[in-house]
Amino acid sequence: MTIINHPDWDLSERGKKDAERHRKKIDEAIRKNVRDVISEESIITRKKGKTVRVPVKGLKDYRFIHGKNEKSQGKDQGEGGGEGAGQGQGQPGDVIGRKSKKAGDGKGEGKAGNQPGEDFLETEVDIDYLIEIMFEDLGLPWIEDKIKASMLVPNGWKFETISKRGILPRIHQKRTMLEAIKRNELYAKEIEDETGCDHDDALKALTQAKGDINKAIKIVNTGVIDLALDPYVIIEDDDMRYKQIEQDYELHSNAVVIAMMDTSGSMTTDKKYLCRSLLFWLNEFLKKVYDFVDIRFITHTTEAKLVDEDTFFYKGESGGTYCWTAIDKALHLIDTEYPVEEWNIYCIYVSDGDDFNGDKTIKYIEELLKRRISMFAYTEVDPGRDISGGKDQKGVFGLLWSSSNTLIRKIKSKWSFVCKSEEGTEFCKNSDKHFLISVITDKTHVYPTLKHILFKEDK
Amino acid sequence: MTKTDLQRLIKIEDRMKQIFHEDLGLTCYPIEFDIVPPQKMLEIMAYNIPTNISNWKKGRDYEIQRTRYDYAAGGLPYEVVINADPARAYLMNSNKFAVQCLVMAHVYGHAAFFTHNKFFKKSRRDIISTMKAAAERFNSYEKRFGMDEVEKTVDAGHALQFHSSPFTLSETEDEKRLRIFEQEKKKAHSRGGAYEDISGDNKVKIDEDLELFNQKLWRKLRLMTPVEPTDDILRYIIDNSTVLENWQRDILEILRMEGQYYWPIIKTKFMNEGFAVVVHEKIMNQLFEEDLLSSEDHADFNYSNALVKAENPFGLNPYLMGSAMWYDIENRWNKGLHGSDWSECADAKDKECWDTGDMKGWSKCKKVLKTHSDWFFMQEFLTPELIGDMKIYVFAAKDAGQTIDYVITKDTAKEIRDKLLNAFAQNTIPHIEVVNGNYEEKGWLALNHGWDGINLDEMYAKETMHHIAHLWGRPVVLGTKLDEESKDISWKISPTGEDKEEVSVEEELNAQSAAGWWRKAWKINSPLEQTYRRPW
Repeated sequence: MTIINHPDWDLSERGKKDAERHRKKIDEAIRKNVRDVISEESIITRKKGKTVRVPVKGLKDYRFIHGKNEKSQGKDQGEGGGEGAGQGQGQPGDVIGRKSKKAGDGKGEGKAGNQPGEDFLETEVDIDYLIEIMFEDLGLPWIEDKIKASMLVPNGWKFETISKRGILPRIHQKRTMLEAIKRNELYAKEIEDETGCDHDDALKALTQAKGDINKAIKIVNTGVIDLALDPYVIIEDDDMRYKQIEQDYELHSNAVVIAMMDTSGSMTTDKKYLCRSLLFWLNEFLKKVYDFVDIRFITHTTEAKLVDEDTFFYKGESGGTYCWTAIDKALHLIDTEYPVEEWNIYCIYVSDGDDFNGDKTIKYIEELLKRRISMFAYTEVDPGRDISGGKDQKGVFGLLWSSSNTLIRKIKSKWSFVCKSEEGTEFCKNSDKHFLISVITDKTHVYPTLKHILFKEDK
Repeated sequence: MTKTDLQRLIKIEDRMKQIFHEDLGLTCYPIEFDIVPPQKMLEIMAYNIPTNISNWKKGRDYEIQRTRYDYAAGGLPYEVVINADPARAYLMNSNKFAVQCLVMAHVYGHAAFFTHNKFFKKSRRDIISTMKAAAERFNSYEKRFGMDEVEKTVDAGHALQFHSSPFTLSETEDEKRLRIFEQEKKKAHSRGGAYEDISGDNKVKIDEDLELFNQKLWRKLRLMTPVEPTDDILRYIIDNSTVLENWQRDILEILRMEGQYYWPIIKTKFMNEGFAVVVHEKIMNQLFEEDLLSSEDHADFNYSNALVKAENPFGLNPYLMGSAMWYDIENRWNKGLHGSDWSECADAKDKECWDTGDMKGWSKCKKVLKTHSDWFFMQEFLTPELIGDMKIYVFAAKDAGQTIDYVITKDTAKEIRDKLLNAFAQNTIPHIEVVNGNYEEKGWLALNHGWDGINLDEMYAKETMHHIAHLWGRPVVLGTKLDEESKDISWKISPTGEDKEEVSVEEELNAQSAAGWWRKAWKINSPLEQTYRRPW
């Protein structure tokens, strides 16, 4: 038998190296598909955990293959495509397998059917990692210095304290030397006291005895001091001083984000999903990037409630709509807990704009803006709203809001905004009042909206 | 593996070889066995050829293999054999002794198949060293031209590598042009020749006409690229693309060659695996009979063999189905259960205990081994009775409210057979030809799908066309059909990138499909047809 060890198969772990290439490809694909990934429903409704499964497009071996004949279905079998052959015990009519249907994605967006789900490769990704690659260069804008700075923000590392223990690379030379000199002088004094010799001789004897005080005394007493010796400082273990590394903090101004959401009856599943999607990513991002930002959650129907994170994201309600109640609650929160002099306040409100009392809401928003908070962002969700429309009398960018009589329209006629069209929707900003408005009509708008809210200021 | 085990293995292999040659009457190229640790084994399985090039897909496959290995915690008798001369096989050192024997005997089966099956006649037996050299070259390309660029080319090559068989004629474009010219000329002239005996005047006219026809034909042929539709897409692109660098051509040549190496393996999967199972079972049984292996080994062997031949409720196991078919052939030709005598016999009782004592089963198997591929194998030997014996069924997905149920259909064995054969035809590579390299006089590449009742997967086709567009540097058009009644449609994909004049567009051409164009282009207005359609 020929058993040979072939040298052409080297020991380097090629598989692992190439697996690394594959991972890089996945990263690239995620970056490219951020919009799709971010609107993936399973991420938001996932069970608690740090990793999420993300569909990645474009990592298959594409080649010409036979597909399904859609139109010839029903001709011979009825269930075209779902057929296969198998082997084993089983009578006609036996159920050999069962698969639960995927959670239907509501309406089935316009493009559906084009790219079936099975053509995506699913991969497991850490949620922090996702946030890292999706929200590069994003942050809270308009942060101001407030009187009372109390938010500790980690800012690198520093050496401040000095200890007797440590590792050699972090030795504090000056302090160590100082300690050694101090001790040498003390020893010299002792030798002087014991023997009555002068200071110079005492030091010389100490150097000659290599720092051993008893020996030095003996040397002085026997009179064999090497007078030609140039005394130097001898360092003992006890003299060693080390720098201690610790986290450096900087004091920053306080910031609080007040997330408000409409949970009234008019908010359909689709709308709620878009709402939560937006606020979910905002929340995750803030938690990761700004460790010390306070986040408060308010939901409202005809009255507003202060709730915790879980209730906010996972529970639903229904009822009428008074948008002003949420703003009122926020105002109350600002008055009682977050004084504007001390806090940067970011109010983010998402609703479908179907308000029972729009005029009152406008008044409350006016009141809110008067407090000179850092930002008020209003996002209206309206899946499927027709965004192609005419121009209004004011100019080019009236088109979005003219189609329905919602809150955003009232806001638009009350304040003036600088608008830009992007990704099939519009983003408007009023820099004086720190007021942002936008509309989400499709799940692909979630990501641009986040970028709109978390923009970096030009300095 | 301990030293004593190794000594024992070498001794058993000697006997194995004897059984293989003498009892089974088979021959093969010499085999070299390489004993490797599991990690290497998994790499070899992912790379197919141990010296294969580095690529992200190999990394992905490696991860899949490793995960599978981790979850199955050994258990599976991993086996890899490379069709080369000498054939190279790998034994995983963590396998049990009996499993090593099983794998070795199995490898002998494959080696016999590689050596004798006619579809492997043109296989390159130096694949290991060729790929090793190629991998080194590709590595240097990556350093010089960047990994992304190289991977783009490699991905495109992978997408197209199965569109050429080792049996494709290796003609250059010019040779082909000349051949077609001669063929067409001959056809036209023989048509003309029938009228030779008519009056002299006419003969001159015919000669003139024919001369004119020749000229026209040649002019037409000179402008045609390709001269004749070709399914060897990579060959055509390598020879005719204006944007490919030499290193890219090298990559594509290698991948095309690799595809040709895999081609017969894909075409004979069921036969090949089935035959290897038959050989290993025959050899192992003989070894057990001769008490060369212990009873403990017997238990290990049975366990692993059962894993290899496990029934799959959601698919067909080539090891099980292939081997069952080989055993069936052996049995039928041993007892003479074939031919008109048997099929025309009406007496059920006679049929029940039919045995002519031919004992030609194994020699029949050896004949079939040489000549068949999976498709022919199934066509000829997958009998409805055998389908019943093998308990093969067809299942269909049924909507059951909350869930989708997979239910076994009421198909009869005959219907199942038809469906399987149909599926085997579908699993082949779609027939796609390059029909025009200068489509619309704009240098676009026109492809045509020879629609034969089965659609192309649109998403996959378009992604593949992106690959082709990258290699071609200009838009690519593909003509196909969506169903029997519908008209031909065409998809167009343009290359992307800053240096290309056009941006990427995906559009459906409303104009005539590429295929239609080609058919039109071939219709040369032959002078003969006008001349001789005279009413006499």
